[in-house]
Amino acid sequence: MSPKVDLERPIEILLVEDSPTDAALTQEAFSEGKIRNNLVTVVDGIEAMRYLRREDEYADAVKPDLVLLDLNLPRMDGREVLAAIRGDENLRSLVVVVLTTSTADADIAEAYRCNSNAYISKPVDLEQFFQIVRDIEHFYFSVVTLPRT
Amino acid sequence: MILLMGVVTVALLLSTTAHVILSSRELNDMMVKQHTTSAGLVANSSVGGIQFNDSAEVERVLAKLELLPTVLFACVYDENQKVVATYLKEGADPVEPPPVGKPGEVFREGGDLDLFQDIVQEDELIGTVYMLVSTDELNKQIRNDLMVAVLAFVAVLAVAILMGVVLQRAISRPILELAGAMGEVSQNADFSIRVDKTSEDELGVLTDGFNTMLSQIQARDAELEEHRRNLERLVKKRTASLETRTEDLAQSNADLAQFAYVASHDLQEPLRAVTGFTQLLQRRYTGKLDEKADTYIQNVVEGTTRMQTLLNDLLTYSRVGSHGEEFEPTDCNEVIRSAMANLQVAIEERDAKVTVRDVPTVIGDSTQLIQLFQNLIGNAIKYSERRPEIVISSETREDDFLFSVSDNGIGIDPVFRDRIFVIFQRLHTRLNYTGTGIGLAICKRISERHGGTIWVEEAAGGGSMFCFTIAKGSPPR
Repeated sequence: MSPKVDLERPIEILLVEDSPTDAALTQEAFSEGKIRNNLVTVVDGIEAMRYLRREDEYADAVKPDLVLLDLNLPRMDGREVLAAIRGDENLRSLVVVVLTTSTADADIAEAYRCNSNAYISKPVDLEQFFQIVRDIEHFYFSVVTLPRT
Repeated sequence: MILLMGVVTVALLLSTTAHVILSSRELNDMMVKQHTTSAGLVANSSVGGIQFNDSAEVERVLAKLELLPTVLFACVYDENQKVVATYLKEGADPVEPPPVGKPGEVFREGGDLDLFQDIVQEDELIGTVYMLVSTDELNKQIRNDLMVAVLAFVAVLAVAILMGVVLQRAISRPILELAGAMGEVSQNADFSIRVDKTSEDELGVLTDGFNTMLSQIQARDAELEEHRRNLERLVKKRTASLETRTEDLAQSNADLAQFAYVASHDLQEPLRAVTGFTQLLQRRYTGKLDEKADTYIQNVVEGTTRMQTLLNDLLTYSRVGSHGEEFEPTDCNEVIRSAMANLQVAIEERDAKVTVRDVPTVIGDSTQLIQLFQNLIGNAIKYSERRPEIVISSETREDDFLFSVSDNGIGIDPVFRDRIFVIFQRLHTRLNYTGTGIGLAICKRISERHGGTIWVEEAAGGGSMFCFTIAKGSPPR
C-alpha cells in the first residue's frame, strides 16, 4: 500500500511524554521505522498546548500529523490536553492517539469520551512495543488518510 | 376489726339468748315438777278424805298448801267432778273452781299455771286435784336471770372489745403497719422506707429483719447502679477506642491502597527503563559481544520482565478489594463466555474442551467473576499433559451457589491443598509451568469478597476439581 502522505516531507509526530526513558524508547522505535518521520517530544500538557499554538519559542513549530499523548502528565494531564485540543477551533481535527501504560477501564472510557482517535496501552515487552509502533505507522500512514495540514 | 367484734357480739348474743332461754325453761320445768309433786302429795293425802267423804279432812290437807306460797288456789274434786274442798291463799283473789281438766299443766293467759292431778286408789280414779299456781315468782326469777345474763353479756363484750383493742394495738397494728410498708415498697419501688420498731419481742425481730432487708436491697441497688455506670463508662471508652481503631484501619487501608497503586505505577517507570534499554541492548548487540555478555543480558531481561509481571499481579491482587464494582445480577453463562474469549488462544493451542452445565445468575461483580473463572479455566488448561477436558457445573443451595470446575490435568497432592491459595505460592518452577502463583490467591480473594469460600478436591479420574461458593445476596466487603 502506498503511503497516503506526501513523500517529500517526513511525517511530523508530537510525542507528549513526561518520562525521558519512555520517550527515548518511543523515539528508538520510531527511528527504526520504514517511513521517514520527525518525532518532537514535549514533557507535559502545558508545553504541548504551547507547541501546538506555536507560542513563543515554538513559533516555528510544524503542525503535527499525529499526536501521541500520554495520560499521566504533570501540571496538565492527558485528559485536559485532549479537552483543550478538541475545544480549540484550529486544533480539533488533529489525530490524537493516547499512548499510555494504563489499562484501567476508567481511563479508556474517559479517553474516548474526550474524543481521542484511539487508545493504545504500551506493552511491557520491548519487542511487542516496537511491533505496535510498526502497526501505528502502517495504520496511520498507509491505511488511513490523514487530514491535510 | 369491726367485723370481728361484730361476730363476737353476735356470738355472745346468741350464747346469752340460748342460756337465757334454756335457763328459763329449766326454771319453768322445775316449778312445774315441784308443783306436780305437791299436787301428787295432796292427791295421796286426800284419798282417805275422799273415800270417807270427809271434806274437812281434805280441807285440812289442802290447808297445808299455805306452806307453798306460790299456790294461789287449790281444790279437790270427787269422782263425780264435784268440788269436795278448796283452799285459797290468804290475800289472794277468790277463784272459781274450773271444770275438771286433764292432768298436766296448762298456762293460763294471765301467766298462772293450772295444774290437774288424778287421785287414784287401787288403779281407780276417785278424784282430781286442781292447783292454781302463781308464776310471779317464776317470772321474777326469770327476769333476774335475764338481767344477770344481759349484764354478763355487756361485761364480757366490753372485756372482749377491750382485749381486741389491746391486742390490735399490740399485735395487729404493727403487723399491718409492716404489711402496709411492704405494699408501699413494692408499689413505689421505694426502698428507703423503714418501719419504726415498737417492741423488743418477735414483732421487733420481724421489724428489724424487714428494715435490714430493705437496707440490703438499697445497698445492692446502689452497687448495681455503680456497676451499671462503670459498665457504661467502659463501653463508651471501648466504643471510642474501637471507633478510633476503625478509623485508623480505614485510614491504613486507604494508605495501603494508595501505596499499592503508587508502587505499581511509579515503580513501573524505572522498571520500563531497565527492561526497555536492556532489550534494546539485546537487539543491537547480541552476537556483537561475547557469549557471556549475551547470557547476562538475557538474564537481566528475563529478570526485569518477571519483576514487571509480579508487580502487575500484586496490583491486581490488591485491587480486588479496593477497586471492586457494585454488585449486580450477573449471568454466569455470560461470565464464562467472556472468560473463555479471553483464553481463546490457550484454548485453541491445547485444543481444550470446555463443557458448561447449568449455571445460574448471581449477584456479584461481573469483572471479578470473569477473572475468577478465567484463572480457574486457564489453570485447568495449563496444568495438563493430555488434551484438557474441563467441566463447569453448579448447584443452587439454601444460602449460596456452589460452583465446580473440574479438569483431567495433573492433579494436586492433598498436602498442598491449602498452600496453593497463598499468594505467590507455587508447586512447580517456572521452567515447568509459567505463572507467578497469584492466580489462585486472586480467586480466593474474589470468592471471599462475594461472601463465599474456595477449595480444591480430587476429581474423578485424577485431575482437580476446584469448588467455590458465592453467597446469595451478600453485600460486598
